[in-house]
Amino acid sequence: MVTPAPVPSNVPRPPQVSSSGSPALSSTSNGNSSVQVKEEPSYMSHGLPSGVQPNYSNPVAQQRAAQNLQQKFGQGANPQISQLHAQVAMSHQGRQQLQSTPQNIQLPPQMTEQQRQYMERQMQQARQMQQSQQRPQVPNPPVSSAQTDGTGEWDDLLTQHRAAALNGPNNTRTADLTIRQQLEESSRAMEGGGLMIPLSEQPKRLPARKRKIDAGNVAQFDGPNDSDEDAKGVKREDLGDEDDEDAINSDLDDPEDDVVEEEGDDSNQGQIMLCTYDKVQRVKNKWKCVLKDGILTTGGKE
Amino acid sequence: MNQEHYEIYRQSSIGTTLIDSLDDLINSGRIEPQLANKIVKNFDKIVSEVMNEKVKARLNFKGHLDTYRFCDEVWTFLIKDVNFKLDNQNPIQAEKIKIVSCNSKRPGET
Repeated sequence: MVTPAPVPSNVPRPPQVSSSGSPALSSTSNGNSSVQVKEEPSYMSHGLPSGVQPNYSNPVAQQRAAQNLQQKFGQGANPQISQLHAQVAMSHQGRQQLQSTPQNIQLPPQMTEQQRQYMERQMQQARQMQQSQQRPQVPNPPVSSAQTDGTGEWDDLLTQHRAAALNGPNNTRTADLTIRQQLEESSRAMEGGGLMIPLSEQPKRLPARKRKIDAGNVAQFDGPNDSDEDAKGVKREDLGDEDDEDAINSDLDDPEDDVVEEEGDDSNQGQIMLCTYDKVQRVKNKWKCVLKDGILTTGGKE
Repeated sequence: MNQEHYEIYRQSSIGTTLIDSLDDLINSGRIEPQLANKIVKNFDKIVSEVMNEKVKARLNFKGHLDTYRFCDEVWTFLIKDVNFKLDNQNPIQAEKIKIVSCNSKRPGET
């Protein structure tokens, strides 16, 4: 494949890019980087035929992109930058070789030192190109070859990642399987377990859960023991849990001949106001209550 | 943190749904019962706080007091033919309403 492309990635780019007079420095470096730099002086010199210039709008953009990458990601962006350079350089090698001959012919007197170096380098490159591969001097094929080069690296990366992923997912697969098993079991438990208890039993189930926590048991005991624990939980509340009014009330209601109303309560469970009281006064038949922080549930609204 | 809060709001629809969900989670083995207990306790706390600080809505109601009881610092009223008048909404009629009311100045609570 194309060897010159990956090599210059090690060479720090931005200094070369930013300094316009640097081509003399890079004249000793290898082909690709010289390609990259050599375009600048020719871009600066306006004596060249205008037909050449459009080609350099690209390298400028590419240089900017490279600078941008470098600024944003620092050293980490080097591979990408090098790839960028490689691609654009490839395409320009092709184009410049197409145009090099007429330039040589047309502009010998205007040639500066830099341009002479530039021409020499172009010739070198042309030789290199011919030596390395018999690449057709059409812009497109070099580009595609550069890209295939990149994808080759990418493929290597991919294969590495996949190899790593093959080792990794084994763990996650087992984890997934166990999770799925748990889910299936839970769905079975939902069907058969004591989950479908009516809402009216909710407050009784709370103390039951507390008991379970005290005993340090796990959810497996939830299903079979539910009824027993409910009874115990109610007993607990009876013994003096102040906050669970429902249980206390049901306990107190029975001796007070409120059994009928109690049943009525159960039937319209939604009709309830939960609140705290500030003051409850009674003057004969008139009650005056100042309540706070209430949630009223009635008629399906809250 | 260790301050006790009323648990009455667990009977509200949001409380029951929360507890149902937690129960589902426990039964499916996805959370520990201790965690559920903590969540419910937190729910008590948060609801009390929100009720105290955020809720400004007021309503008046009138009705026939059917049953009243006061036990362990908890008032329970059973009112029939109640008419609720909210701030700026239509009044609400209800056949029967149960009011469960805890002492707002509970000694344990400030």
